[in-house]
Amino acid sequence: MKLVLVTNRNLALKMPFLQVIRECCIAGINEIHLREKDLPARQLYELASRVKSITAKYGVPLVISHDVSVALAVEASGVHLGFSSLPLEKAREICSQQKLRIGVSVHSLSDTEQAQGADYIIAGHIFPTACKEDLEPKGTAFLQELKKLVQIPVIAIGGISPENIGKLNRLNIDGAAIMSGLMTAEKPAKYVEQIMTGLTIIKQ
Amino acid sequence: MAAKRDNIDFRLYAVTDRKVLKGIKLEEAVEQAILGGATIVQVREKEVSTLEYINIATKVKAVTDKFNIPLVVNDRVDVALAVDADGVHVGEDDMPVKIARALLGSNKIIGVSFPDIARCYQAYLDGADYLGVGAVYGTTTKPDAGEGIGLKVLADIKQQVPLPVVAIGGIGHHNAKEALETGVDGIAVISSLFSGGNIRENAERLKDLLA
Repeated sequence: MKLVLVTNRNLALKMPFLQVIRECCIAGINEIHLREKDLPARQLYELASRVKSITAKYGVPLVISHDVSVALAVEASGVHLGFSSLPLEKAREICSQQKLRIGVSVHSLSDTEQAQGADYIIAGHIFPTACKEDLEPKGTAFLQELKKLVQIPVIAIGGISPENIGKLNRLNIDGAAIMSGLMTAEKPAKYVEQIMTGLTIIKQ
Repeated sequence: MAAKRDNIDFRLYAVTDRKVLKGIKLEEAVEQAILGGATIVQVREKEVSTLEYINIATKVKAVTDKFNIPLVVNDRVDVALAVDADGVHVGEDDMPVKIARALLGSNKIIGVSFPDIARCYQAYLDGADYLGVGAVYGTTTKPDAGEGIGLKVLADIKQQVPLPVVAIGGIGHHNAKEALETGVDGIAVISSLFSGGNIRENAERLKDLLA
């Protein structure tokens, strides 16, 4: 099971954003998703270039959320699409030369229809989280149902912490993605270690 | 389709704005503009999701393709790629010209707008095809553009950067002629084309001034 950092630089108040990235890389995070929805293309491109220079150094795959052009421009490992992003098949077409992995977010079992053709899905939110306070968490049962429905890797997201990560262990899912916990941690590297202690990590 | 990057006719450059359309679909408005003489079209959307932008651009492209008129997407290289537009128009907040050129390839049109001559010139070096320069006059469609740069600055940029220049911002029937006299290659219009009366006739009247 792999551990994924999903970024939100606006939450990185305890230390510079790039330092969070670096600490997570050093601590052995398996993948980083740059998800900075509020940035216009140029700023996202510039930030992605800086993040890429760190992740590349540690051999950590970088995935860009939403903007395929930025993913291509920084030669990311993948692009992650939401339902207001460009359609999956379009993304596949555009990315054909760079062979980007394409992921899709899934919030219900019926969403899986739109995930057809994706390389993996991120499913959530699983546990209660401050990011989605007004929405009921899906719980681990959602992940089990998903695993029956799809053949591609499933990564859980939403409220995952060192305290509850153990609940994901027996579900046969492929990864756990964390945003707030890591972005707001006093010591992100320590936080990664704590999470990993609770996980059965298979290094890629 | 053959590359449209060569010999682009910039004379009447139609920039879309769904907000100023009065009860007519965007693609119909664009068709009327083309029938009236628009030579190039830019689809410009500011507050929509990527998916909506793609859907809108796809509809507009069906029209521009029908008339073999180049379609440029404002701001977004990803949308331009997704709909296989003929080009993209980028500014300060958008993808750098060099990167846009690398992603779009050599057959696509890249237009740029920057507030100073130095960056316009750099854009030329980086592979831009034309400049959108403005706002020439104060304009209602871009409230933050202020009073406008005026004809003198427009003429300066045209002289100093070896790229076609399209003048934009507050240009209409009453002042198109004087804007053209600065030597620019075309005028870009939103309001004076789309916001009132008969779009086709608006275009025809503007086109007459450009002859």
